Amino acid sequence: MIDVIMDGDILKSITRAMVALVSEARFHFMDDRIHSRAVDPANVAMVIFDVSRENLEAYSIDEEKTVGVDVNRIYDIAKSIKKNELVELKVEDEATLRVKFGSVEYSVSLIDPSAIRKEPKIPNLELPAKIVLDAGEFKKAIAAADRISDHVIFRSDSTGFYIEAEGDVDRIVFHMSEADLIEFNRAEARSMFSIEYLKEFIKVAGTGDMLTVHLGTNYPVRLVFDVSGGKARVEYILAPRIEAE
Amino acid sequence: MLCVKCKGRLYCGKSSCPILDSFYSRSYQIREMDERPTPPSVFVGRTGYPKIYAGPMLVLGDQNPEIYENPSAFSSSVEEVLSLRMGLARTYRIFTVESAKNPDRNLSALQEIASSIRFVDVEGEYDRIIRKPSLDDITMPSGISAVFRKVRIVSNPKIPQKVEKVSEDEIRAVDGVMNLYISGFSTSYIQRVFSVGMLGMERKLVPTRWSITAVHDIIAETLKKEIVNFDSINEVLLFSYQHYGNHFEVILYPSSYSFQLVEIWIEKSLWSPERTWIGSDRETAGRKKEYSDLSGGYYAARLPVVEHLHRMRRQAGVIVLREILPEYTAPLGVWVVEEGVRKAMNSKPERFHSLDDALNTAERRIKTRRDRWEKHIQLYQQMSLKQFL
Repeated sequence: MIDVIMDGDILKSITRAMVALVSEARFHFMDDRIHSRAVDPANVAMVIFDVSRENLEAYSIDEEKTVGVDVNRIYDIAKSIKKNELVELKVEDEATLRVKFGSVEYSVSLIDPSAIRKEPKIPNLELPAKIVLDAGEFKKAIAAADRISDHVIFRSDSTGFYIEAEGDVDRIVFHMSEADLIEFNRAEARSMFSIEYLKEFIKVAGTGDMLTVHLGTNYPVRLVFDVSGGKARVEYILAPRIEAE
Repeated sequence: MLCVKCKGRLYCGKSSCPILDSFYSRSYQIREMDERPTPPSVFVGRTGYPKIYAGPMLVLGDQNPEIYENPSAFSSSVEEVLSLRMGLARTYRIFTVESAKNPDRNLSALQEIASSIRFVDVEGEYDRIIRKPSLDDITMPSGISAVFRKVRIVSNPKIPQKVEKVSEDEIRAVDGVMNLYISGFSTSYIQRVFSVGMLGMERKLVPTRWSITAVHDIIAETLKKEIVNFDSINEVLLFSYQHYGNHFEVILYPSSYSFQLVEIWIEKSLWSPERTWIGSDRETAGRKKEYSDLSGGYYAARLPVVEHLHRMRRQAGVIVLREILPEYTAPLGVWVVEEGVRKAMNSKPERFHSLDDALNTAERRIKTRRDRWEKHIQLYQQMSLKQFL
C-alpha cells in the first residue's frame, strides 16, 4: 500500500520529465524518496528524478515498492491539476494507481514493472566545468538555436559559459559571464549536443528554476534542474555528438 | 526555387503545372461497358479528403498486365516506362474514407483487387473519360481516367491467406504493416492493402500518396528501434547505383545510427529547370517527427538502408547522396528512389578507412562540384551513453 500527497506541480514536473524520453517507467517508492530513471530507446539520453520525502505533504508506504507507470497517461492527467492544488497518489493493489485531486479521482492501470525496458546504469562521469544558471535563460538560448540548427555547442572557459549554434547563413552565440551566472568554476570544456533532445528537456523547467550544467569535452553533459520550487530534482544526461573522422 | 519544393502541388498559383502539362497521354480508349485486367493496381486519390476518388487501375495497353506494376520488369528508359504506364487508366468514384469500416460492393471489389498477388479481370461501366494523365513525385504515373458506375471482378483474385488473416485481426495498422512485412510482402503490396483500408482497428481509405510514405515510415521506424541496440560497423562502406537519371551514393560510417539525405537537382532536371538546387534533411535514432522537407523521397531512400543495417545487425552513420540528372524527364514516383537505393545496397560495397576517402571516391561519380554539396553534409556522430559506462 502506497499513499502519497504532494503538490500537483511536482507530479506534473516529474511526469513531464519522463515523457521527454519514454512513455513508461518504473517508479520506486523508497523509504526516503520517490525515484525513477529511464533511458531513451536510442541510448543517447537518460532522465532521473528524485523527490525526497520531506518535500511531500504526506508519505506512507508499507515497504519499499516499485510500480510500472504509463507516464504519458499520468502526465496527461497531471496537466489539468490547478496551481497550488494537492494531489494524492494511492496504490492499494498491484494493478491500479489512483490519482486524486480537486473533486476527481482517476484510476489508471499499472504496468508490470518487469515488462518495462531495463533501467540504465548511471555512467560515472568526470565533468570539469560546473555552471549554475537560471533555467529560463537556458531555455531561451535553446529555443533560439533550434530555429537555425539541429545541434549546439556548449562551451565554458575563464570568460564565461557559451551556447553556440550555426545555421546555413546565420549564427547564434549566447554568452553569460561569471557575473551573470549563479555559480561558475571557470573550467574549460566544450561538447556538441543534439537540439532535438535539449528542446524536450527544457520543457520541464521555467524561469526561476535553477539549472546546474556539468560539462566536459566531447563528453556527456549532466543537466540538473531544480523544479517545482526546488521540491523535485530532475536530471538529464545527454551523450554528445563528435566530429566523424 | 519553387518547383523543386512544390513538385506539382501548384504553389505557384497557376491552375495547372507547366512541368507536368508537358506530358500527354497516347490515345488509349475505354468503352462504356468494358472488361479489362488490372495488374493489380488501385488508385486512392487525396483531392476532397475525406470524400475521395478511388478505384481500380485498368490495363488498356497490350502487354502482360502484371508488368505495369512491377518496376523490376520495366525498361531502363524514363520515356518507355512513362509510355507503358500511360497504358494504365485510373477508374474511380467517390468514397468517404470512413466507408472502409463497412465496405459496400464496389469497395469490397477494390479490396479484393488490392490484395490479389496476380492480375484480376474487371468488368465495369464507365463514363466521363478524362484524358489528362496523372504525374506525381510520389505515385507511379498513369494515363487517362474514367468514372465508373460499378465494377465487378470476373476472374478469381489470388489472395494469400496471411493477408486475409492480418486483415481480420483486431490489431493496429502499424502491427498489420509489420506483420505483412516480416512475412515477406513487398512494400508496394503493403502500400496497396493499406490504402484500401484493410489494416488497423480504425479502418479508413488512405490516399495512395500518403500510404506509400506511411508504409516506408512505419517499417523504417520499427526497424530503427532494434538497430540502436546493435554494435557500430568498424569500417567505411560506399555503395553506388544509377537508374532513370537518378544517381545514388550511399556511405555507411562507424557511428551510432544517423541518417542524412542530400538531394542535388542538377540544372535542367525535372523540378529544377533553371539552376541546380541542393537540399538536405537528417535524423538521429529517435523517431523523426516532422515531415521531411524532401518529401516522400526521404522516406523512400531511408527504408532500404535501414533494412540493410537491420540485416547486418549493425548500426552506422548514413549519408545518401542523390543526384538527379536531366535524363529524369518525368516524375515516375518514389519507387525510383526506393529501388535505386535498394539496388545500391545489394551491390558489393567499396571499403575505406576514412569517411574522407569514401567521399573522395563518391565525388568522382557526382557531376555537381563537391564544394556545392559538401556543406550540406554534417560530419558528426551521435555518441551513445553506453560508450561512457
